[in-house]
Amino acid sequence: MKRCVKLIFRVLLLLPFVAVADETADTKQADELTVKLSAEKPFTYVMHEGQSVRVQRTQDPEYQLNGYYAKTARKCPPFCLQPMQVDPRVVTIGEIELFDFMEGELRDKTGLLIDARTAEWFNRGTIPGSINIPFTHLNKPGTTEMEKALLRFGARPRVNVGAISLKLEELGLLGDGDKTEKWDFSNAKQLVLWCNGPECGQSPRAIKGLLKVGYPADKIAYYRGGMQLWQLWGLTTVVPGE
Amino acid sequence: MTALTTGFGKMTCVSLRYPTLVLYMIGLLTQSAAAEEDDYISQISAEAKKIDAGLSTPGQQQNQDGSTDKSAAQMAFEEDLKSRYMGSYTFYRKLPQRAREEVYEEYQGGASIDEIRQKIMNRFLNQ
Repeated sequence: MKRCVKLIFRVLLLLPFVAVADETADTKQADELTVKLSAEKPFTYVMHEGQSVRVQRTQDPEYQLNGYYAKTARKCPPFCLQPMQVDPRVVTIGEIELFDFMEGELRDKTGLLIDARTAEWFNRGTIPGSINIPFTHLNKPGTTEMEKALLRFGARPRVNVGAISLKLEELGLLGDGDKTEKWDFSNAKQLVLWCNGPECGQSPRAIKGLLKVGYPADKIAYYRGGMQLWQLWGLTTVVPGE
Repeated sequence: MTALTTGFGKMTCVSLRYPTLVLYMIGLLTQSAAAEEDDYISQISAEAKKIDAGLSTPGQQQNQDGSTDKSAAQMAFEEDLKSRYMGSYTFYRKLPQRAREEVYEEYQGGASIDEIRQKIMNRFLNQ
């Protein structure tokens, strides 16, 4: 018993040193990086499928995008260039904002990063921290898939809402405006949706579907660059299950 | 065409006289939207298969699950690396599949062994 207590005591004593050693190793690695995420941020960590993944840019000075995402011409329609804004109420973000989201809302579990592509795309590689909710689940209001997704996003279903309450909510006299007849989005998560890049219409469709069911526009962001720009900058990707 | 005012607003005589026609037209529109979506999904699916094609190196064959078989040439490259530079090979083995393919592509592209070893280390340190 005494030995056990001693051992625990020793481990506890060592913990700060281990933490300092880890921090020193991280700082050393950060100093070694020549291609950082931003001037202030060499890399960031994100949880993916229960594991911590380091997100950083490739350090290979000769790196050039090759393979599928190097293609810049696809048949249009259907693979047409998308407007910068899906909807005037929804913000479009770039990589820097996405890194901040990863370190903020995603880490705090108040946000979700959504790969809105179909599963066959997701399974071939995704942005770390993303969950796959295909746009086909989000563009048809009233379907079971849509309801499941909304529940996962933190929306709560509403039942038997009185006509007077609804009218008052509509007029902004009751509640915070994040409620519809069927859903309460007061505690809904902040979402960032993305797909294959500027020529991809999958996440825009998902966003339009979410807006249609009343998901608050200020809780949705669109990462237009998607997988194409993510890979162009040589950023870390993960293959689900590997 | 005369217009009638109903409880639902203005409706034309045509829509009142031929409700079946109106319903048929609505049905047609819905069907066409659904067909359009199906078509979009099938085109997305066809496009997804190009990812593997784009990443594959000549001589590689795709399996049904989308993975690729290593070509004899890549295996020869790995054997060569193993026999000459065991250290680099050890790091190479620890790389994810895609990074290994990239290294091999570089090798195929005519990169020197020193460049290959450097690339392996770069990929290993920055994965």
